[in-house]
Amino acid sequence: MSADTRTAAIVAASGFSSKLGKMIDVAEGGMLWTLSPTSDLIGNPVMRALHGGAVTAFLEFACGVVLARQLDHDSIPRLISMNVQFLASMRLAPVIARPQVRRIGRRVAVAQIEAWQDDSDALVCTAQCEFLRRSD
Amino acid sequence: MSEFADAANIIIPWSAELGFRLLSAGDGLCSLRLPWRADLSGADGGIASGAIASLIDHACGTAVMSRLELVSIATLNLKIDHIRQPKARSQVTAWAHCYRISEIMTFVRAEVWDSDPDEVFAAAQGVFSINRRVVA
Repeated sequence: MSADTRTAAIVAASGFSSKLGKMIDVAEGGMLWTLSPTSDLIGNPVMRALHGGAVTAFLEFACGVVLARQLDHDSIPRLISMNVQFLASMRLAPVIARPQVRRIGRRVAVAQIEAWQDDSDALVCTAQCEFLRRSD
Repeated sequence: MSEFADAANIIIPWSAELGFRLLSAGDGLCSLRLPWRADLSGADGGIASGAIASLIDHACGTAVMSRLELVSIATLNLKIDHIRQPKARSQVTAWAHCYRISEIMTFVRAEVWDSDPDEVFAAAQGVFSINRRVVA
């Protein structure tokens, strides 16, 4: 994984994020995320398509880390709800995503993310995540 | 359905990687368990939300497949509410119900619990597309 130190620290903080983090690179000051999937992430062996759940985990993680950075937190705020749309099936090839924090309220923060494979105009999935801000 | 469980774990790489265990599947229902493991853990010691998302997606897909033969399906959208954190170091179990199915799409609900099936910690709803017949 290549990323800035804060992102790397959040990735290293838990088992699952470390596992996913091995396949993730973060560029453009934390704003451009690339998942380079191994064949472990396949969910449909006939079509050799990526598992929707694996990609969902990547999208959620990218949103959480970008929000943590904006809030100047060392850990990801608690996820309340996530809504993900798949526009096309995803091949065993890099998935590139751009997460954006849309609103930081007093209690709830909202992030959205769009992902593509070869062509940034042909999105393969989009998602919105709502997070609970730490109650401090 | 133990042969089905073995087959599912062998042929779906992401399911095998996370260690899903099929408890039952049939008639549009699926019960799928994920034992706790350090590499699936979130920052608070329970199974990470990204792994929960994968479990839900997979349970929903398996519930759908239990009503179909020789077709390929894909997640169109999925909404997951994380009602509370799962207990630390606890296994989690997803129950999915494919409650409506047509030629081209199908609608699924799922709930996830840790120690008590009456106290779910995550709930989800999704739509899957039914793509085409797979040549056996």
